[in-house]
Amino acid sequence: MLARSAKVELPRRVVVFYLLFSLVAMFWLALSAVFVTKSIVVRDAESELLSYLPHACTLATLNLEAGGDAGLQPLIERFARERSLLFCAFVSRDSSYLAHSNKRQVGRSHHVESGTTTRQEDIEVVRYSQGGYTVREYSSPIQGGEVVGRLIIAKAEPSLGQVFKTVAGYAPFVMCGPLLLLALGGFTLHRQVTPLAAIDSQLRQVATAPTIADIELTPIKSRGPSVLGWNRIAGQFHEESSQGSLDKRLSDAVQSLRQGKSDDVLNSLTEGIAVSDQDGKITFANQAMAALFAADSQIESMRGKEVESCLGLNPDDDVCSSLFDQDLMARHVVEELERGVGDAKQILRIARTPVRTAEGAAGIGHVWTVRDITQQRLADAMRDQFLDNATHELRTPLANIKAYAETLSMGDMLDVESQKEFCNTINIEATRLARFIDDLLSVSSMEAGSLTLNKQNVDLQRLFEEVIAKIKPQMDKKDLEFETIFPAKYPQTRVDKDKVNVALVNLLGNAAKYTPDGGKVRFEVKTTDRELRIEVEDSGVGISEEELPHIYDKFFRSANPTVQAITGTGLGLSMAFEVIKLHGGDMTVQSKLGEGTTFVATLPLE
Amino acid sequence: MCRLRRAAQASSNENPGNGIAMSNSEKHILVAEDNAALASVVRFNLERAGFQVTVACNGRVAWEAVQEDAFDLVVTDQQMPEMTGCEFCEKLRATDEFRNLPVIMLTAKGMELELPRLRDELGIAATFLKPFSPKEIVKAVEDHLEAVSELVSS
Amino acid sequence: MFKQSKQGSINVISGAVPLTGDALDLLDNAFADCLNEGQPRAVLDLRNIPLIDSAGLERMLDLRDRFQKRTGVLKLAGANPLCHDILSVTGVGLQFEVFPELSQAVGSFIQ
Repeated sequence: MLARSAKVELPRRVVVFYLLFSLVAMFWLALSAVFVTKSIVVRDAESELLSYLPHACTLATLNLEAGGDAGLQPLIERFARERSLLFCAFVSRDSSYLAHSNKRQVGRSHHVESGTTTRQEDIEVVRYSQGGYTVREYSSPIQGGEVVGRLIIAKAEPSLGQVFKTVAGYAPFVMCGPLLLLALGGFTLHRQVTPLAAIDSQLRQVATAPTIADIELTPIKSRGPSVLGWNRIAGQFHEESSQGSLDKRLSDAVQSLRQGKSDDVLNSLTEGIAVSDQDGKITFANQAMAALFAADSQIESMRGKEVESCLGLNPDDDVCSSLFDQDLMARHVVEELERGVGDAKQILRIARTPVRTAEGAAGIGHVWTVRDITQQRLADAMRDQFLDNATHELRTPLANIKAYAETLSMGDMLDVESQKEFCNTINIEATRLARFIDDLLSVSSMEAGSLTLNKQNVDLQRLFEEVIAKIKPQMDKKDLEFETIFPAKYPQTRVDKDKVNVALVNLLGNAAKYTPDGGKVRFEVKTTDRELRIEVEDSGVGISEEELPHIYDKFFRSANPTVQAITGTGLGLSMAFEVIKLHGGDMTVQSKLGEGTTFVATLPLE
Repeated sequence: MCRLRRAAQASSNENPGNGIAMSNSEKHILVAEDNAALASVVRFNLERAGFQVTVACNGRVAWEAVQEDAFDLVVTDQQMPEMTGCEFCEKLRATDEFRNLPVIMLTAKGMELELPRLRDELGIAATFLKPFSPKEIVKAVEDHLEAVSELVSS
Repeated sequence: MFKQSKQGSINVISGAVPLTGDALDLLDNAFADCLNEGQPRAVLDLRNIPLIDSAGLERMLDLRDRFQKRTGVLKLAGANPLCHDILSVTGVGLQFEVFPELSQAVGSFIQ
């Protein structure tokens, strides 16, 4: 029903009804006007005739008295003409027409028509119908001279049609105004009703809307108090619903933001993170995890795969077996996985933690974290090795000092020679201890990166002489042939004297240490415009090809038994190298196992 | 550089009239130590106690020495190039001839944790951590030789 | 031009030429190997690099992005005063961890 009536909009319906009723009313009015006009016309005509009749009677009397009935006929005709009567006649006493406006009726007898007869004083009024007309016949007695008779005038009442015809002539003028006003009224009404119609249609939608959320109230562009009220309601409703939808959107946005953000957060971590479900399939992996384990480094390629295969593990191997031990699924497990060989060797720390629900129940999956701890392990190993070396290097001279000192202390039966020798040994050992501690400090400052240069203008010749003075005793002790070649003149240069001294003593000390008795060591300095070139060549044990790349590594010591037999911390070369590098120079090495080694250090001149 | 050095026979005469010293002079001790200074001070003290002392500069040289000469006791450093004290000891224990040869071990490393293993598996009679007292070494050597001789005589 | 070495598991790329023009392709080549590793960790050793121009800075940022894509880290070490100024004035220095010494940079990977 709603649908059918909704077909025609409310404003149109209202206007149509309005016009319909208005037109009916107008028709009614027009009809009434015709009736009223007719009755007025009839009455007017009657009163006019009634007032005319005595005048006509007087005229007729005068005429009769003056000229008998001769002049009567023209007078009668004049009456009929003047007043546009139906007829006018003079009836004699014997009821024949003495005169008649219709000349053919003269002489005929007067026939009294039957109808309603009324009397006003001596005037008799007969009303009858004749030929579709309603005729009023007025007769008044006349006495003039000898002739006595009655003057009859008859007038036809206008019919309804006649009146209508007459009035219709005015219709355009009379009807146009109201019709125009009606149209105006319709238009105004339409305008008044349109906003209401909008409200109405929206209310219909509200009635048919399946849920409150589907309701949409829109403000109406119009004026008027009801529209204003409606707009307020719509505004309020809109605000509320948009508040609601805003809340929803906000929570949606926050949710997605949270989701996206936590993804971003997890992907920014350098620690690999993955989540697996009960079946051990990966449901989430971050970028670091993909970088560590996916061949193409894409997160997508990890999803849905078995954790074991992703980690490159074989469940049958013992490696990291506790990660996949069914009995340990409900607890935190940490394993270290080694992979790769040589330089590419990696140590990964893999931790597996069961995901727990808010109630604390495990079994819905696991979180995996992977961290590359290679560098830590290497650093640990380096530190351990360093500690081993250091303890050994510290304990040995200490043990000697203690042993000699104690021997001396019970030395009542020692000869002076032995006492002297023992004291000397203690002294040497103490010096060795002191030097080792110096080394340790240099190494630790190197480690911390705080090994800084104190550059100054240096007399290179004196620097080299000092170095040689330090190293010479060692050479002599082993009967080494020590050849030194220096340029005639040194350029001005700025270096850190002490550090270069240490570096050269280390280089030459190594040459002396690892060259067998009677061998040869050459120390040559060359200068060019741009650099100082220092060569240290020995005929010592040499370095194998495999070990060459590592000789500058801290704590590196050759596996060569001959070298192992000689004490050392594995720090000297790395220290020398570091010093040369700090000066912006470089150091290269050539060596052949069993034949000798040549170090070439270059220092740029400023 | 590393040579076997036979202790001077005359050194035993430094303690005349000492009964133990007299018996000590019959005992032959092997000292395996790579640090020459330490080796010489240990030798000095042992010789002063009247023992005959032979010094070897590492495990390999010491292994050669036990095959050439008869020793009553071995004092060895743990950390030595070529062959460590432990390796040397394992070799001794693997040979019937030296299975019961008493060994005293010197060690510079933080080997405290390994001491029980050394005692049980390698039959090390005593261990000394560097820095040690030479007097204690001499005493330990004497105690062990005495215990061995008592065991033999009974 | 550029030398690749390893300190422990950390790649160290050292150069001795200005980071400009043609040298940048060599720089890319030097980094190619370590960018193929799972999680690349490297230090660009600037000690002997006298100068960096805008193309060089851009390439450094490129490298950083490539490292980040693999969740790796690239650090800088030993910039000379000029390079240090270039890095700080352009703000590129803020995009990297910058260390005065190579050893500090390498050491910083031990977390």
